[in-house]
Amino acid sequence: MTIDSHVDEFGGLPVREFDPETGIQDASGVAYRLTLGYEREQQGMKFSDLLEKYLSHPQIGKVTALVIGCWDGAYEGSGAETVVDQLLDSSDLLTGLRHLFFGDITFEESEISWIGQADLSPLLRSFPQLEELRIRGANDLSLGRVNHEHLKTLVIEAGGLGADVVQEVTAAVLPELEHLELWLGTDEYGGDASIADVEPLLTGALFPKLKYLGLRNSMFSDEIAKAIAAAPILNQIEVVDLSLGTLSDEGAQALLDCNRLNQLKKLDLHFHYLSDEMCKKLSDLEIDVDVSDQQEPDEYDGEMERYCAVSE
Amino acid sequence: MSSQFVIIGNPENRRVHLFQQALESQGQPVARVVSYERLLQDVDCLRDIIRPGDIVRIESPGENFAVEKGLLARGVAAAEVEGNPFLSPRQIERLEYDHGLILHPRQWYMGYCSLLIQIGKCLSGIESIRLLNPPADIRELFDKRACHARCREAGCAVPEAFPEIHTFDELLTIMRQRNERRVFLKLAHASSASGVVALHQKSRRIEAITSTELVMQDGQTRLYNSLKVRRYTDLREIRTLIDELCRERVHVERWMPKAALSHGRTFDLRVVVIAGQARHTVVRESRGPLTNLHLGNRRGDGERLQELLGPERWRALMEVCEQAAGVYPESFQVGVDLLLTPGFRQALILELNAFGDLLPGILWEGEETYQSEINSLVTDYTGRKG
Repeated sequence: MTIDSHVDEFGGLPVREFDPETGIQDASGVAYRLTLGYEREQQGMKFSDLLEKYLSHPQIGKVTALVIGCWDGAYEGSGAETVVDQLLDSSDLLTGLRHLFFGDITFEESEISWIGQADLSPLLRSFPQLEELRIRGANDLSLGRVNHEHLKTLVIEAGGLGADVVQEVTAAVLPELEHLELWLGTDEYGGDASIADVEPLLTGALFPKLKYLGLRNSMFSDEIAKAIAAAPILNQIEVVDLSLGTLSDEGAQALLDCNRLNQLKKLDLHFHYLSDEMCKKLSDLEIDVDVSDQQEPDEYDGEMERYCAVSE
Repeated sequence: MSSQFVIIGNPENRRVHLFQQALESQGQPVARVVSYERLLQDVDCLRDIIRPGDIVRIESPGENFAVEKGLLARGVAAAEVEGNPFLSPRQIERLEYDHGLILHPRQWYMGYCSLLIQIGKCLSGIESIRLLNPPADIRELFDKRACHARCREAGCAVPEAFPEIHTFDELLTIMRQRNERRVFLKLAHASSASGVVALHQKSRRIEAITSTELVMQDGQTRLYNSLKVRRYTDLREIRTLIDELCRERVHVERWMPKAALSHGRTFDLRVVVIAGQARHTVVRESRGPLTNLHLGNRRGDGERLQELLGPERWRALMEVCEQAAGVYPESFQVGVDLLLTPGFRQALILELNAFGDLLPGILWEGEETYQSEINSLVTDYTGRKG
């Protein structure tokens, strides 16, 4: 599965593409999506011009949600540093900003593994009121030492998430965090985190308010499932999301065998490698279970291979 | 009158078998086969074997250990001049077959060039033969640096290439100077995905994705061409790997992003241009950066791609391939590797292949590659005669 469409809703608002000609029409009722894209770039436009135009609107302080799409050269791996700098320079204007999506880029614009990210730690520092940060792409991504009072939602979508970034997340101080999604991906795209790197998340000690834990798009979903089945985190959260990964019957059985599973509101396993029989067993649970999008392993050289959904 | 085909190749190889089958299926007499082994002994025998009017197809010398040794032996003198490690005649004699071991491709190439030059000389003395891919073209097509440069000069869109590098440290310096974080490094003289490395520098680390396996044992370093794509992150290992490859001469170019057609896979295209016309195409899909089909990747849905592109853009892409193949106008068939960037924005020529027409089961107008070639030749021949 590749990411083939942009978000149409973000931060509770409809998303509309920002047109520099018409500018901001509705500062508080719309989440604008800023994107340069290949065509505008070919015409000589810079992302900074677009962002400048957006930021210069008198009502900019009313903006609550912003979606950053393609910046200069994002489709061939150019980093997001200048976008970060520009946002930092305007942090005193963007006083209402609560929701930021950094990298709403579809595969047609750039494969996820090519998106060049940046050190986003200054953003987290300069926007202490931010409640939601969604990031796509993990090349050169860094969060630094995170200590943020208000962040409720953190999502990092990647074809491969480095162990270093996972470790930054597990070292973060986020007292309000309710929703965490990490797309772990494959090692071919730098996803070198292992079960040991994500295990601290399962203790339940890191984020006291966490309700939603997504360890998605993983090549070791079975290991994660087994670890979760035995972990304290199950006493705390409402949603376990292991979707887009390589989950097989082995991992699912561990979850089934766990008598605390019924405390969950939802178990999201969509895109999986479960047998029909296992899907049925899971569907018979009293909680909401999503087992849609069943996959068949690829057979190669006599071996069955399972892949996570989003790698390139 | 029908003409007689002659194949220079390794008789046991499936390329030769499949071409013979194709001749049979088109109602042609089977070709006479001259083995590389024999030519390595006595290239002049060609003068007795090939008759005026023959159609001569020079096939790949690959997948035959005796021939590989013979070509290495032929390359000894030239390799010695270059001053890099090489295999002496004695060492070559003692070589035992070790599956996948990459054996001094530069020395092999120089040996093959020397043989091709002699083949060319012999053939040029025989009247009115039709030589499919001339030896001089094969030599250049087997030199990725030279071929890339030629295509660029001819105005083909190609990924930007780096100047010649000799070590990993040199490569890093140039990457820094050019602010380039992703490069593709290939052995200048190799087929398939042998010695291909996709190198990616991140802020804190560097990683190399490659089909080459680095084996360090008893103080010796050996490289194996492997079917398993590996990822190296240890700087010392990467340095050793790249330094070893550099000794055999490498071509380095910008690693361009590839378009995707289906779930989590990107692709490039192999297009076979026969007699100036782009014909058979294969979409090579991969979950990783290396798309060669024998690496466990798969053929993608070409019809779907054509549909997405529409007839005009598809035709334009085929013209890009025809233009690239046209850089070698004397060559009857050229396998063109074409990359599309995400969103199908740009089309770039990745590589041209002298022996790129082995695509069993891929049809164009109901014919496989070899059948299509044979028919084109026979029609051409009859047409000219008639």
